[in-house]
Amino acid sequence: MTDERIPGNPHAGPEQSAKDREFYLTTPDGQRFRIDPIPDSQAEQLLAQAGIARRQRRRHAERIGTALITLATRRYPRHARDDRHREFTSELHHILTDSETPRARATLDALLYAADHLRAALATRPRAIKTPAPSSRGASTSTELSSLLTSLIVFTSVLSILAAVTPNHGAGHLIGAAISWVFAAAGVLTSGLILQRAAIRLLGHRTRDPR
Amino acid sequence: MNFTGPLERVLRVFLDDITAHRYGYDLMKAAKLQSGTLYPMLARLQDQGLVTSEWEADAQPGRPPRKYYKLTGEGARIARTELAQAGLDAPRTVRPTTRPAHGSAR
Repeated sequence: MTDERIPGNPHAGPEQSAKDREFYLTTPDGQRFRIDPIPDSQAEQLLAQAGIARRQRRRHAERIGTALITLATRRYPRHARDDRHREFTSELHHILTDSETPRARATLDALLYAADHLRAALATRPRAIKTPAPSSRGASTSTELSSLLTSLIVFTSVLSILAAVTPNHGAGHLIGAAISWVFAAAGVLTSGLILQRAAIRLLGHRTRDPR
Repeated sequence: MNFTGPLERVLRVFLDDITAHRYGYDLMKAAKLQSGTLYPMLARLQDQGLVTSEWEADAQPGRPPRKYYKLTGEGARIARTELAQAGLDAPRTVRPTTRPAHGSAR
């Protein structure tokens, strides 16, 4: 007795004919499923669709990789930026289309290749940020005082506006309200400036790369 | 030149075949380095005149040209010297410090 098992399906029985073996699949619990053969025309179409899907996947990966490389090379010196971008995107394309590497692996390699460029570019950037000088106690106190003063101005201005807009108040209150609005605007502007200064002092400021 | 482990690996790859032109991904695989480590290193070597680069002249149609890197004569000389020095230094750094046995005379 010869053991006529379907390759890949060790549970298929020997009772199947050669024809059946092509179109039936027997599961481990003995169930048989008919697998209709795909017509040649449809097979070609499916293969073409698979090819399109594969190309689309590659195109998407290339697009993502190129975007990452573009972000990374933006941080390069201006004179080297275009050359590096051209080199990295070219290499990305070659990694993606490498026929010796499985497609999934090639896609992963390409994305890692691009992502590591960005990682390196981001990792080297913080060196350009100036370390903030330690602020003196006097400067800190003056900031606190000016913040307090600004808060008081804004608070009184808001109270005046509220008083002016309440019913049964004369025109004098309208003038008071207008002045209060001016004070409020000045207060907001001043506090904005103070906050900006405090932020620079606290976080440092990014130096523009002149290269 | 700040001689680091990754740099040593790259120089060894270059010295394996000194006449070969190597592209970035090839160097990455051979030296087992990530792109973000390799390319800045190649740029530094190029700035120092130890490596030259050139674009692929006869790229296949529909495929972008690759950039190839090669050690210069000076680069090869320095690489050999540095690697030889590293080879000499290596046993010195891993040699265990010998201590007299407990109770032995000094």
